Amino acid sequence: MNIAIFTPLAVEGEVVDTPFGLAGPLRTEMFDDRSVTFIQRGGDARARVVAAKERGALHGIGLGAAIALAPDFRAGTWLAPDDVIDQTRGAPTTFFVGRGLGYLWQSPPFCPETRAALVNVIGDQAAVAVAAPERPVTPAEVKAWSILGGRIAMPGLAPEWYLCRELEIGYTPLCYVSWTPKESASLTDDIVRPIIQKIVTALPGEHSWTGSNSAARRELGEDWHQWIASK
Amino acid sequence: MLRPPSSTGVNRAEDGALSSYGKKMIAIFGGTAAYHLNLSDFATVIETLEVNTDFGPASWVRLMTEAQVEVLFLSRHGAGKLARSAAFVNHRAHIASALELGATGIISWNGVGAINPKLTVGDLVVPDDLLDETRARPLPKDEFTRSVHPSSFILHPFNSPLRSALLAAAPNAHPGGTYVCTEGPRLETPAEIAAFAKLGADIVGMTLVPEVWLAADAGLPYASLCAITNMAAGLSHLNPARDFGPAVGAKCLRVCLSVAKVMAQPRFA
Repeated sequence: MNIAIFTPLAVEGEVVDTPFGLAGPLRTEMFDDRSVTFIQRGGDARARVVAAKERGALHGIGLGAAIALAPDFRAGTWLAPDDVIDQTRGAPTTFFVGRGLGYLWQSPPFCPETRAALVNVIGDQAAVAVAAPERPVTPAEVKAWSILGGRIAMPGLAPEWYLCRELEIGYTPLCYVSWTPKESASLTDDIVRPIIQKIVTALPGEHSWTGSNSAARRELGEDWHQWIASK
Repeated sequence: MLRPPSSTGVNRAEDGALSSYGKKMIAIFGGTAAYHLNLSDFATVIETLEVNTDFGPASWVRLMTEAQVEVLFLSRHGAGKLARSAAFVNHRAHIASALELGATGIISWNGVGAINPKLTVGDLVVPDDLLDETRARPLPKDEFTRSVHPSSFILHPFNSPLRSALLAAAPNAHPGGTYVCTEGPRLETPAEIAAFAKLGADIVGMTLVPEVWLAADAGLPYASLCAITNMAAGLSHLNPARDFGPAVGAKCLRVCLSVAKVMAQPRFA
């Protein structure tokens, strides 16, 4: 079993080629008997999701530095969002370009099995995340997204979460509150590694969530490589 | 939000557009389950047409209703199966070919999720407003430029006479509501649906953008019949049913065919 950690932090490792361009750098390590691949974000999100799938990822954790939209969060707090509002623009929306596939239910949007491991480690720190663009956020957006129901904003979450879903990687975000109106806290490797160690240990060895892409299996076959072949 | 028919939500600039045409030819854009229907069960099939446009091909069927009214029919998502999700529908080819075939107005049907808890699975809605929450779809760039009011800052997207005709053909339909169009193909999250509700949306779908804007750009009056196939994310506790089957398409097609008959009545002449 492999676990993919999608991270905004720098990763020293190899850059791999995919049908959607370069992915990474990425590096695979063993945490006890668990294989964990850290994949640095950047480029086309489809590339890094395919890279994770090629390494056998059953679970994907979207690590992110979050902006607090609600006043009750402290910097340096870990959160496991349970819902999301996508406010990104122009990113790839699906692997199934030109096909009649991809109508995947998003209630809930994140894999309950994968998220349960996070909750086991950090507690049930639920929040509605806004999937934010990978650019600075304006004060007006902080206000608007709060009105819409968001409690934190996290760059990198979309389209990563639903592209993982399309390829049946059980995905859940793990947010580190890095900015509030009163304080800030940097996300660093020293902070990340201990908590990833605990989460990896808590993850189930199998992935039995019913959120599988049955329509793609039915129409395109069991080999996921056929799913990403352009039409 | 849902509201009774009124002068608000009426596209005044487009109101007279239909009557400015001589012969009326309604083009029907079939949505959910259109690809499952045997059209000869509903009307006489005159011919099938492959129309090549500058934007690609479009497949049409020319039909004659029992009332001897000729209509055009197109299955948006393909024939035989759901071949293209909403984001990959070739709206430009559809609009261009509708113009070429002499269409003077478009009615469509769309499967939607209910956001407003007053709505439920099986209901029909004739929306009167639109929110665009798509993310990556090319908007019109003056491809057709036949709009009767190209300089408008505010456009009520749905044509009032066509909406009235839909409501006459489906008297139990809700006479108004705001449709929010999402990018897809993924479905929406519960938090997104809650946000859309705050913005004033009643129903959610993936199809009407940019189709509505292209029709406006082409000067083609447009109205939509929305069939509620499911409650939107986070609201399934109100009614867990999901109905995407051929019966939905059959119900909508019958209403749309009736519109052609309604439009032939003197008050619409």
